[in-house]
Amino acid sequence: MLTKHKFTFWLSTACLLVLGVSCKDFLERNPLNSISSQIFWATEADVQTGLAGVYSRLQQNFLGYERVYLDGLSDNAFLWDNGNQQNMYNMTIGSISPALGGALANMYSTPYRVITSANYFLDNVDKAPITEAKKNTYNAEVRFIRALAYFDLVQGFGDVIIYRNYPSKLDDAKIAKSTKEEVYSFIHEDLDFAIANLPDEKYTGHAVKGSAQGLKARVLITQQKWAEAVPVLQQIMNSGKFSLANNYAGLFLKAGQGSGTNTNAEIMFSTQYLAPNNVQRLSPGNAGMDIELGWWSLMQPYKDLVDDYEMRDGKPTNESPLFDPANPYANRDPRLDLTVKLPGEVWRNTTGVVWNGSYETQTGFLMEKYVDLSRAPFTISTAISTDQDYVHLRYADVLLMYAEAKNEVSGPDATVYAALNQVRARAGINMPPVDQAKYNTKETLRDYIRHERRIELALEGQRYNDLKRWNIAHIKLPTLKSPSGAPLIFETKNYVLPFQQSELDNNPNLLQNTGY
Amino acid sequence: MLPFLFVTLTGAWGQGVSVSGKVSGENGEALPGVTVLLKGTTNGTATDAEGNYSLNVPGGSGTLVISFIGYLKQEIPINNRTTVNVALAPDAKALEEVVVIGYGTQNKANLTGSLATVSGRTLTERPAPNAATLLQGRVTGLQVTQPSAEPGRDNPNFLIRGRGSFGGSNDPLVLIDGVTGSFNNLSPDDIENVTVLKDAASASIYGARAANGVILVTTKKGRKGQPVVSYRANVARHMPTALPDLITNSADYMEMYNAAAPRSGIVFRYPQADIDKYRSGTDPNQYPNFDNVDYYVNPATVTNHSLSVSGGGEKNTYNISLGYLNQDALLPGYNFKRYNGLLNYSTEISKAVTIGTTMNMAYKDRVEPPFTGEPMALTIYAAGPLYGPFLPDGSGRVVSRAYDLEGRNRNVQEYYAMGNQKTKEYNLNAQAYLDVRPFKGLTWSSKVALNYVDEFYKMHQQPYDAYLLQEKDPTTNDYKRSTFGPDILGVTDQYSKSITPTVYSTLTYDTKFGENHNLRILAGYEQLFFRNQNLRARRTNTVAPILDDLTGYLADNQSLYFLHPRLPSLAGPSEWAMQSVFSRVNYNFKNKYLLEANLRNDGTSKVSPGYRWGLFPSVSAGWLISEESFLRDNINWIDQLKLRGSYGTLGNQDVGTYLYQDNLLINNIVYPFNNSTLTQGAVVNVFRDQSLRWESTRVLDFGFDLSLRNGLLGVTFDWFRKNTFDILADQPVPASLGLNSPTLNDGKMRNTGVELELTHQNRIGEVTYGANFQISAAKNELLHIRVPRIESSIRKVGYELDAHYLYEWDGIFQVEDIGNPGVPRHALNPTPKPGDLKMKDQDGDGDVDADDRIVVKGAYPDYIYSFGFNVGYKGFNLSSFFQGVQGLKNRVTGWGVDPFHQGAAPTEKWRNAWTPENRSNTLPAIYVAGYSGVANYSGSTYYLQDASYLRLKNLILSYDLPSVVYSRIKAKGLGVYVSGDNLFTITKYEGSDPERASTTGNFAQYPQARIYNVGLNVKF
Repeated sequence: MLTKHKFTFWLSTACLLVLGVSCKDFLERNPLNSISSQIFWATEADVQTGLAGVYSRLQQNFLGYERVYLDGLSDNAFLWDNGNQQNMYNMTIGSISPALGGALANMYSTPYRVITSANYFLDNVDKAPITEAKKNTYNAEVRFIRALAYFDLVQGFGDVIIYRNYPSKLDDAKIAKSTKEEVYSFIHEDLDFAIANLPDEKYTGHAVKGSAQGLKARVLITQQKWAEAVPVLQQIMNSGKFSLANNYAGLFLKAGQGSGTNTNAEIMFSTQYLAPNNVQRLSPGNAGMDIELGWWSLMQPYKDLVDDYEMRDGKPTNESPLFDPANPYANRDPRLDLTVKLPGEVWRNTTGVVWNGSYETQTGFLMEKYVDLSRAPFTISTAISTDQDYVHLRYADVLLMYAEAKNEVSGPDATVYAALNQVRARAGINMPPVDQAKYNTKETLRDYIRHERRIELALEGQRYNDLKRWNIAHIKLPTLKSPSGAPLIFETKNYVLPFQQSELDNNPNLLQNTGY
Repeated sequence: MLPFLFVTLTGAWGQGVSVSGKVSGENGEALPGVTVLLKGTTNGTATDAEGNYSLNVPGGSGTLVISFIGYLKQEIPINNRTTVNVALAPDAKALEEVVVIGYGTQNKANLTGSLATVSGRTLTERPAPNAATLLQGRVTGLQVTQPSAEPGRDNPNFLIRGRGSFGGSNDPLVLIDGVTGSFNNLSPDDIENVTVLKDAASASIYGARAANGVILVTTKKGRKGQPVVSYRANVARHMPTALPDLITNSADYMEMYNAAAPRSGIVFRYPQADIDKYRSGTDPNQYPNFDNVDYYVNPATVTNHSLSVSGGGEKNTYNISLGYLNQDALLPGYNFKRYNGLLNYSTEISKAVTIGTTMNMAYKDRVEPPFTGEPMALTIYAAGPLYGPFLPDGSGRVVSRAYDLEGRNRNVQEYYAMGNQKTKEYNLNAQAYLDVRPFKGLTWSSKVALNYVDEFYKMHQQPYDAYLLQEKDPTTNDYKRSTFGPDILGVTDQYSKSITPTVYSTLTYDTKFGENHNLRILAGYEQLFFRNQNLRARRTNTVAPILDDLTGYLADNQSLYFLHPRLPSLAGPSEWAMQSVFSRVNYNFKNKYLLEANLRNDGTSKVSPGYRWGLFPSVSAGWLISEESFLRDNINWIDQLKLRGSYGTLGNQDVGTYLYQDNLLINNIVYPFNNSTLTQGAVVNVFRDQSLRWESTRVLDFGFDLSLRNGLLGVTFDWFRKNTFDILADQPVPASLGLNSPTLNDGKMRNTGVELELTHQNRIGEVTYGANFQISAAKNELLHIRVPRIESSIRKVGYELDAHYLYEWDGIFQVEDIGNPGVPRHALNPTPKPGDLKMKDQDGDGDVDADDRIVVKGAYPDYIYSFGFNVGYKGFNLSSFFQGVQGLKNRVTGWGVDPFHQGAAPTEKWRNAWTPENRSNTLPAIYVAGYSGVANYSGSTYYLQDASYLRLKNLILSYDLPSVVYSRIKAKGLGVYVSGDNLFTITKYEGSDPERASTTGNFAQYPQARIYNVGLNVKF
C-alpha cells in the first residue's frame, strides 16, 4: 500500500498531468454563507452580532408571540388545534405524559436553545477586543435572557439540568438535573449580575436594569419570597423609567408599542418583531397573531374568564345593579371588550370594513387582545405584516406584583391599594378604586389581587404559571369543561411537567419527574 | 462497426446448382457480409451490399449454414431449391456480449461481479414518458417505485438491494456516459443500454459514491456505414389506474355527516330543510350532487416524437437525435414539454488517436396549478358533493364551499382562480474525450465533462374571490364571500443553477503472457466538483395582478429568499469536491479462472482533512466450469456455467455538504432591536463532530450464470449480504443540548437477499418466442443504533429499519364491550363509545398501552418480481410484461380513508358503517376525521392496507411491414405498434394505486396512469 507521503506525491503529479494546476486546495470547500467560528469574535461588531443571535432565539415558540397560548392551559381560554403547538388542548384533559409531543416538547427545548446560545456567547465574548465595561453590559443582557429561559424551565419542569457552559463534547450535555432551589439560585446569580450591569434607562429593545429587576421580582414572588420582592419592586416604581400607558389596547399592537425613544413606557421587556422581514410567522405556514387569533380563532376565552370581569361600578355582576341579564356585556369593565370579542360584537378595520371571517367560536368568545383589526380582512398575506411585539413584562404587572407581595408581607396597607388603584384607574379604563371596606384583610385582598391580576393580564400567557404558583390549579381547573364537554384535568403531579421520553432515552443521567 | 470477418471460400466442385437468395434482418433490412456456408464443407460465400448471395452447391442438396455476428446462426436444408431467402434473428446474448462497466467494457463471459444490463430496445418497448421508470421490473435487485404519473414529477425512486442507510441517501449513483447526470432527463430513444452495478466488485471502482449501487447509462453512438434516419412517433392516452369510490349523493353525505358530527363533538349540522332540497333534486344547480373526482380527473393525451440520424465514414461515427414530449395531465391546468437533443461524434485523427464528443441537452418546460401532487389530489377528495366549481348564477364566480362551518379545504377551482406555477429547466451534459493507443495493448483515455443544470421557477398568484353556495351575506343578500385566498400572493421567481465539472483519465494495459495468462490493468484519476447557487425574489403589490413578471409589481414589501414550505426547496449555495485515484486488475487463466481486484482511494471535501481519504477495495473471482474439458467434452447442452464470488467495500458520501465545519449561522438570523431596523445575528445551530468518516458498506456476493442450448434456458442467480456501518446520520441528542443533532458515524445495518433471473428463447419454424422471469428479495436488519426510535415505525436493533410498529386492530367496540371488565382498557381512548376501534391487548395485562404495539410485516416487500412473454411470427411481435410487488403494506390515512377529513366524502363502503343495529366488526361507526375513538389509533393495523400487486405492466403488439410496402416510400423499415401500460392490476388495495412514494402518510395521491399507445417506427 502507498504511504501517505508517496500517495500525496502521486496525486499531485496526477493533478499536474491532467489539469496543469496544483490540487492542494481542491478539497477545501467551506460554507459560502456562514462564518467560521475560528475567525468570529474579532471585533465589537462580531459581539453585537452574537448578541442579536441570542435575542433572536426569543422569537421561538413560547418565548415569542405564542406565549399567549399558555393561557390555553389555564381557565382563561380554550385553545383550538394549533398545528404549531400541538396537543395543548390534550394537555388540559389529562393527556400530559412523557409520550406527548408537540407543545410540551417545545416548552422544554426552546428555553434550552436560548440557554445554549447564551452560553456560547458568554464562553466566547472574552476573545473580542472590547472594554471590560462594555463586556459586562453585553454579558448582563445575555445573562438576563438566560435567566428568563431558566425561569421558564423551572416553572414548567421543576428540577432541571443546569448548563453553565457551552458543551465541548456531546457527553457534556448528558448530565443529571439540579434541584429547583439550585436552579433558582442560578437564576438569581444571573439576574443580580444583570441588575448591577445593565443601564438604568427606559426600555426600547435591549434589556435594561428595570427588565432584570422586574424579572427578579417575578421569580421571587414565584418562590413566595415576598419580603425580598417588595424592595426590588419599589426600586422599579421609584426609578421613574416606567409608567402606565394611557391606551390599554395599544400595548398589544405595533402602533401602540412604538419604537426607539417612542417605545411605550409601560413595556419593560418584550420579544420584538418587525415587518416585513422579521414577522411573527412565515414558516411553517403564513400565520402570526392576526391570522391565528383573528381569523383561525385558535384562542377562545372561556365564559369563566368573561364572567370574572366586573361591572363598570367595580362590583361583580351578581352584585351590581348595572348588570342586565338580557344585555350581559354592557357596562362592564372596559378591559373586557378590549380583551375579548363578545357575542354580537362586530369587528371593523380602520376604514370601517366589517371583518366577519373568523372561524366559529365554540365558547362564544374570541380573543381580541393582540389582534390588529386595522389589518383586516385577514388573508394569508396578512402574515407578512404581523409584527406585534410579545410583551413579557409591563409596568402594570410590577404594580400588581407589588400589591401582592406587600399584602403578603404586611397585609393591606395604603401602598397596596394605591398600586391596585393605579392599574384600575388607567386612562381609558377608569375603574373605581378597590372597595377597601370589602377587601380589608390579607386573605380577602389576596383573592382580590389575584382577580385583578387575572383581568389585567388576561390572555397574555401569565395565568397558567400564576395558577400554579398559587397552588390552586388543581382546584380551579377541574371546575371547567371544554366546549365538547370534557372536564379539564389538572392533577397534583401536573404542577411539574414530565420530561419527554426521548430526553430520558438520550440522557441516561436524567431522572423523570415524580408521578410520570 | 460492421464486422467483415468472413472469409470467402469458393470450392471447385464442378457441376453444381447455383443456390441464391437474400439474407435479411428481423425488420426485413438487407444484411451485407453474412457468411453462407454449405454445412460440413469449406464451400461458402458472403452476402453483398443488398444482402444477396449466390452459392454453387454440388447436387443441389445439403444444408446451408448462415451466420453473422450478433445474430443467431441458422441451418437451412436446401431441399433442391434454387432460391433460399433467410431472415436472421438477432442473438440477444451476443448483442450483450460486451458489457459496459466502470471506466470501460468487458466481455460478459469474463465478468466476475454481479451486474445486469438492459438494452435500450427492451426499455423502449414501453413508451412511457419518463425514461427512468422504464427500468421497473427489468433488473433483478433493483426496486423502482414511481410516485405517481404527474407530468414531470414522475421520477421514480431507485433502490438497489434494499435500504442501506438511514442517514445518507439511498439513491444509486447514476452516470450517463460516465459522468453525473439525471436519468429523468433522457429521451428513452437515446438510450443504447443500461448497466446496473450491484455488488462491491463491480461498483467499488466508484468507491465513495457506490454504496447504493451504480447505474451506468450509455447513449446511442453512431455506427459506420450508410446514414440511417430513424423516426418514431407515439401517441398515448393516459387514464387513472384507480380512484376512490366517494359518495356523491349530497343528501346522503349530509345525513351521514349529521350522524357523525355528534360523535366527534362537532356542533355544526346540515339543516334538514337543505337536506330535503338536495334530496328532491328540483334545483340541481343550487343543490347539486357533484362528482369532483369525475369532473377533475380526465384522460390526457401524451405525444412523443423522436428523430435521429446516425452513421459514419471510414474514420468517424455520428449520431444526432432530437426528441419531443408533450404531456398533459389527468387533471386540468398542467402541461409538460420535454425537448431532447443528443450529439455523439467521434473521429480517428490518426491510427492511434480517437477524439470525440457527447452533447446531451434537455429542456423541460412545466406549467402547473399552484398546488400539485398530493395537495391537489386531497383537495379534490375534500370537496364534497354539495357544490361544484362555480356559482349557479352564471356569473363565473368560484365557489369555496357550501356552508361556512362545514369541513373545508380550498375548493379545487380556487386553485385555478389563484394562478399557476412554471418551471423551466435546462440541462446540458457536455463531454469531450480523447483515446490514445500508442502501442498494442495500451490505451490512454481521458474525458472532460460538464453537467450544467439551469432552472427557472415562477409562482404567480392573484387575489380572487370565492363564495359560499348556501349562505347569503345579510347586508347584500348576495352569496357570502368566504375564502382562504392565495397562499403565496404575487410573483415569486427563482433562478437556480448547478454545475458539475468532471475530469478523468485512465490508462489500460492489456497483455497476454505465456500461453494462458491474460492480464489487464487499469489505473486512473478522477476529480469532480459541484457548485450550486440560486436567487429567489418576491413582490406582491401591483395594479395589475394578472401580470406575472416581477417588474410589473411595486418594490414595497419585496423580499429576497422568501421562504415558504410550498415553494421548491431552496438549497443554500454550496460546493463540494472529490478527488480520486483508482485501479483495477483483471487476470484470467485460460479464460477459465477469472480474478479481478479493484481499489479506489477517494478524498472528499465533505469530511474534515484528517479523515478525508477513504480506501475502497474489492476482490472477485469466477470459474467458468463450462470451459473445463470434463464438462465441455461430456455435456454438450451446457453453453456456459460460471460460478462467481466477490467481496469488497463501498462508501456513501451522499450526505450533507458541510457536516464537519463548526460555523455560525447568519442566514435569516436577525433581531429588530428598538423596532427600528434589523440587526444581523449569528448563532450556533448544530453540534459538530470533526471526526466524521465515510459511511461504508461491505458486500459479499455469490452467484452463478448458466445458459443451456443456445438460449433455451438462461439462469442467473445471486446471493448477497450487504453490511453498512459507520452510518452517517443525525443522531438523537437530548433537547437540552439546545442544538440540532449532530451528524455522527454510528449505526450498522445488514441487507441479505437473493436474486434470480430465468430466460428462455426458442424458435419453432417461423415462430420465435421467449419468456423471462425475475425475482428479488432483500431482508433488512438493523444491527446497531445509538438510541432506538420508537414511533408508529420502529428503528431498533434486531428489526427491519423503520418497520411498522402498530397496535393490532381487533374489531369494533360493541355495546356490551363498554364497561365490560373482560375488555382491556384502552389508554388512548379510556372512555370508548360503541363503534370505536378496539385493539388487542398483546401482553394480556388488561391495558392496551404503548407496550402492546407489535412489529408488523410490510414496510418492505417480501419480494419483487416480473415476468414476460414474447412471441414473433413473420413481422408480428406480441410481448407482455408483468410486474409485481409482494408483501408491502401501506399505512394510509386522511382524505379518502377517514370520512369527512376536511369535508372529504366517505367512500361507498361507509354506508355499511357500524351502527347499534348493524353490528359491523370491520368498520367503525361513522365519524368526522380526527375523532379520538378512531384517530388516536392511527398507529394501528386498522389503517394498514395490503399494497401487494401484480400488474400487466405492458402489452405490446407490433408489426413490421414487409419490404414491398416500405420500399415504396424508399424507407428501410416501417413498423407500427399498439401498446398498453398498467392495463390491469391485481391488488387488494382499495381506491387508489398501491404503488406510491411512501408506505405511510396521506392516502390521497395524484393517480398512476394506465396508458394506451399507438406508434410508428420508420427508418430511411
